[in-house]
Formats: sequence, C-alpha cells, structure tokens
Amino acid sequence: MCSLGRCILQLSVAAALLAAPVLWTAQAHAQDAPKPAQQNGGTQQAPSTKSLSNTAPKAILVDPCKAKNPPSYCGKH
Amino acid sequence: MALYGYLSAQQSSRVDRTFEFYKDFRAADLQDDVNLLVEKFNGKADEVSKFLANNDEAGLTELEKTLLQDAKANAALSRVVVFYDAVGPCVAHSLCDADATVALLKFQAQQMVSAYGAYVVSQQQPQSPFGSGIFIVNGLTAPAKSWPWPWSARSTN
Repeated sequence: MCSLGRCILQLSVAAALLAAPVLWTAQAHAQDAPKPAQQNGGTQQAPSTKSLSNTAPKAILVDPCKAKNPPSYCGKH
Repeated sequence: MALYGYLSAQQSSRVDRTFEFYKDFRAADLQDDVNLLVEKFNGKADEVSKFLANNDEAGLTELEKTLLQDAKANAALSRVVVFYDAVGPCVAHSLCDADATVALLKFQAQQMVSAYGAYVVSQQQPQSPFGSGIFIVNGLTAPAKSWPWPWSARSTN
C-alpha cells in the first residue's frame, strides 16, 4: 500500500511516460502532413491559363522508329 | 532489417530525384517545347512517310534540319536535349530510378528521338556527351518488378 500522495505521484509519472511517445508520434505526423496552401503569402501559384489541349502531350502521327525499316538512330542508346 | 531499411531509403531517394526532374520538366514548360516540335513534325507527315517508304534516312535528316531552321523550334529542341542530358546519366548511373523515369519522362523522349533523332545524332561530337541522354531515356524498357533490389536492376543498354 502507498500513501495517497505517493500513489498520485506514481500515477502521474506513469501517465506522463505513456503520453510522451503518443505526443511525440502525433507531432511527427503533423510535421509530415501536407501544409495547407498559403493564403496571402505571395508564394501560391497562380492558376494556369493554359487549356488542356495546350498542355496535354502530343504524339507524332508517323513514327519513323515504328516503321518497317526504322532509321539507324532509333536503336541508339 | 537495417540493410533493408538502407536499401529502401536509397530507392526512395532515387525516385525522389527522378520526380524532381519531372517537376523541372513541368516547371520549365518543356512539354510546350515538345508539343511545338511534334506539331512541326506532324505538319510534314506525308513527306516523312515517303522517306520511310523509300528507306531514305538522309532525306529524313534533311527534313529535320529544315524544320529546325525555325529558331523557335531549334531553341525548343536544344532545351529538351539539354534537359535529357541531365536525366540520362542520372538514370544510367542508378542515381535516378529507371522505372520512375519510364513512367514520367520516357514518352516525350521517345517522341523526340523518333522525330528529331537523326538531327541530334548529326550534332553529336565524338568526345562529348551532348545529346546522349535522350537516347538513354528512350532506350529504357518497361518497369521491372525488381524493387527494392538494386543489384537486379536492368541495364540501360
């Protein structure tokens, strides 16, 4: 048996020891979480004015490297 | 366990590095350059078909040179080639991840090699690495399922 004061102290120490890793982990998660976009910081990117058709990768219509007899540079590495 | 952690960290670093290149590609509007060059090449699709039908590689090279007499197109190709000259050695020396490179940056390299490969080859110098990167990336094959074992990574040759 322990006195009331000693019991409270022991419980407090145990609770602190248990809480410390939890808090530490939570803090680490918070640091890893993506940061919200800055509202008025000046570093937020302006929305692009380009249309999808301008930014989408375009493909060549006739591919020399897929021809029956591809040019020699097609096999170059 | 520690070795596994080390290898995982190395692999993660390679992927991150490759993604940085991809971000550079987007940030520098290199996709616009590639699109411009593709459009110019597509404008001569009929002529390209004729050269290919006749197996006329010299004619194809001349056509590419003609297309690149346009200063805007020439500058665009230069930017793209210089960009890939950084990516190519990075992946060839396993500093970048090959699978990530295939996923993020190969398509554009393939387009450029197919359309302007002859011109790039004609501009290469014997002792200079200029223009080699785009061919390295173009030569990468489909993703291997070897992660995270770098010693089983595929060759870029």
